[in-house]
Amino acid sequence: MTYAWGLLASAIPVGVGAVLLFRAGLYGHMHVALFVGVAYGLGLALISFVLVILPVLGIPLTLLWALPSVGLAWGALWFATGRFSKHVESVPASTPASARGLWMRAVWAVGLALLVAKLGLIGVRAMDKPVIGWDAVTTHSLRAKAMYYDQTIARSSLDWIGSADYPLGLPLLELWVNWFQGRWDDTAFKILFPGFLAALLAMLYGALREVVRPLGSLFGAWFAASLPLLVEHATDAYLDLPLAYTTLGTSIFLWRHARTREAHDLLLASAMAAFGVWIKREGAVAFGIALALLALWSVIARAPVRAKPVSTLAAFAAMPALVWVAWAVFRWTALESAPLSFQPSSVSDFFSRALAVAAYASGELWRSSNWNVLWPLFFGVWLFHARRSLDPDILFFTWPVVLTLAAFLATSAGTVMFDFLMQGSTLHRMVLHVAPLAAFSVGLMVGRHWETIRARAPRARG
Amino acid sequence: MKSPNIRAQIVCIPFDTSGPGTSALGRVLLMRHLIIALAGFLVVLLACSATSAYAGAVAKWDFRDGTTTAWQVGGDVAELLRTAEGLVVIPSGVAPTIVISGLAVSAADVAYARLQIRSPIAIDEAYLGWAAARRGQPDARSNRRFAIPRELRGGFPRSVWIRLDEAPEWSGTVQNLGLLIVVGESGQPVVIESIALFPAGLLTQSRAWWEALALDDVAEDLAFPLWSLNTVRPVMVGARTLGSIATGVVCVGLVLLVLTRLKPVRPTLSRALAGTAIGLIVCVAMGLVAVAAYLETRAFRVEWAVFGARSSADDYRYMDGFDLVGTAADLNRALPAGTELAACLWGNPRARDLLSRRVRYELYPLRLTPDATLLLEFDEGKTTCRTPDDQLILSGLGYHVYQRQ
Repeated sequence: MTYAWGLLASAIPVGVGAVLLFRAGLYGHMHVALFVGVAYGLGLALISFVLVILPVLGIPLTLLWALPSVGLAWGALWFATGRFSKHVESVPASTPASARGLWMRAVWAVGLALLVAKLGLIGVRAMDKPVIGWDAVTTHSLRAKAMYYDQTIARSSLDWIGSADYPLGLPLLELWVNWFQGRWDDTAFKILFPGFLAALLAMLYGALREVVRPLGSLFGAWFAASLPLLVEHATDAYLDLPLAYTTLGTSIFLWRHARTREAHDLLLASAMAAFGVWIKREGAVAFGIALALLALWSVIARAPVRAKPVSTLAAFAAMPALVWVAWAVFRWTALESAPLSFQPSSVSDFFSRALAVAAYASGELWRSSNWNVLWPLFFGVWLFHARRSLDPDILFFTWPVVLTLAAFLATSAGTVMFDFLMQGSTLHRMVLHVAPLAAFSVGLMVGRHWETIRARAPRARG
Repeated sequence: MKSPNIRAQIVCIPFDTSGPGTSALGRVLLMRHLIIALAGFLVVLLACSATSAYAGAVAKWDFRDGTTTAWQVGGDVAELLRTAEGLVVIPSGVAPTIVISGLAVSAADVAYARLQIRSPIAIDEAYLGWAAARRGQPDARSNRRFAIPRELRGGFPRSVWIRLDEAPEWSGTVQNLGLLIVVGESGQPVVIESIALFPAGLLTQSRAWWEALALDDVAEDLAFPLWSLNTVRPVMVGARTLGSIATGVVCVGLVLLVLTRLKPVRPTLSRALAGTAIGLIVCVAMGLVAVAAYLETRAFRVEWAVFGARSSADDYRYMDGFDLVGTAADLNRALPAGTELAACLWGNPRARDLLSRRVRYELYPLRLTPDATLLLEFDEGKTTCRTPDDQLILSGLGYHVYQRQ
């Protein structure tokens, strides 16, 4: 029954998100895999934002109150998106299925079946054993357990448990899944994590399908699904995989917006960024970088005349900024525990450490088994397309990776995080936040190149 | 104003169309050849794997039939049981030994010995010794040291490969073999499933090489939940990681591709370079996918055997080494929610910190705080923090709670 209730708790967010997207007229406007992938995150985001409001209103944090509250919020959004949908034209955005015949279709079907089997295997692995991850036991799952027993979000618990700086998105979702079990279950809520991986791969495949044919897109999805650390994070409860999911989602919809100029793409990017901010503190960094790149695109890089930079940026920034500000205000006014702070080192220390940090990071990306050959391919592909650095393809997928890594390494060189980095406890988990972006970037650029060759093939054959 | 054709915008994005003039048909054929080559490579790997029957042994003793009696007690053995599981060695001392005599195996015909063995604890020190008669030279006696990893719950014998032909004393005619396992004071029985001697040859060396990759150990690291999932254990090929070798090959491929971007001298040369480069990269990427698939499947099997169809409490008991979940349940029944407890923990600072977080998580809604007036002690740690004045107020299986004075 653990599986059945867990699947139900995970299926509800997919349904909630999918119906909202459908109501907004977005079914058929994007590939079905992208539709399902983003629906999962949208539903989870809605649930976690509703749940955090209940204690503020003095409502007990129980399933009995949560279900109608989520239903109410969902209904309101359903009504609102219904009005919005009038402006959306439903146009298929993906390239047609490959017409190369039975052989290629068979390879695609087998590849897809194997990928689904792999995800099933990962799901069973996640549900085989109880939660064990340091961060979960120390902070987010303990918070969820406290919310479960306290039936509210007690300030004393937030101060007492782990780092108070961590936002509440994931603990609330863990609470949601365990409500369906009828008891606190150390295993059940881990179903969220294979769900995040499946949704991430679905988004990646669906977005690739807009420019690459089915088999190429499936290769891209397999490429990402073979990153060992990404897969391992789907088997336990860490915040890094959910943040990787929202970071990829943000970039994909900004990239779509850069091509379609549609408001709904911008709003979906905004929702994903807001969910990222609500999941982990580093989500604010990802949002900041995405905002900066959107500004760059709007203002400088080939933006069309009709793009309105200020309104575009405001539309994207509104939701994540609201979440970030609300959480920051609550954290600074209501909680007593000391915030995490990183005293900057001296300038001379920074420069003496910078070299060590760069050497360590490049060595780790080169040697470790966490990423297979992702990084040489990523940097190689970037090198090949360096002249197109301001194109949306590179602007929204390559630059976030580079800027995130640069920001993290600079922070490590300039603060006490240097010690954590050199002990090997932070680098790869930070890299995980952007690894799917890097995989998508490789898939996209290789796919485009392949499509170019295909387009020229008839001429080559004469 | 709305775009007249969104799909056209989405699909027709400007991208670089420059590059070598290669034939799409040629590349498709190349891809097919690469896939066939990779499939062949995988077949060879499978043939070389530990479970393959393609490499024949010079001598093999399979104890799982319960009838093989050639190996006898050497010393420090209380009893040798011949069961369907294998030869069960019950120690009576720190270094139980079993021996076989009356052999006539030419050392030149044997390069490796393989043990399939189950031990409930990891053993750092074990020896395979031998006595060999050498024509015109004094008889040789020597040994090779090796280690035995611990058996996991749910089965999985360990295969240990021992290279013999590198030892100078491994020559002549081997007459006796001895297996000495230093189990120390633990007194834990060890189960030997089989012992086999293998010839030098491509298949044997491939199998030993496969074992040296220690893929099963890596998979077990994946299967067992790490307390901090900061990185995964790398697959080692000799002194290098598989990742660094793969990255090196991919970099060579990328350099070749860069060469094709330069003004080509001859289109055929450019095409050949591009094909080779793509072939290298695709082969490496698909090889890594295959290795990852093997590791994940193995990790799944281990997890299923160790954790599958068991309760969380049982899983935690196995991982923690004691019944923390049961203690937490007992205490939560006995004490009101919100009661504060201090815990007396043990181990080095890191293990202690980790344990304190586990205890805090399990005890909730009881609260673990260092200044509490109630002190929780576990039998497991054999550590005491109480003073003689503290009063015992609660006791259960493996734990005690004291009122601090």
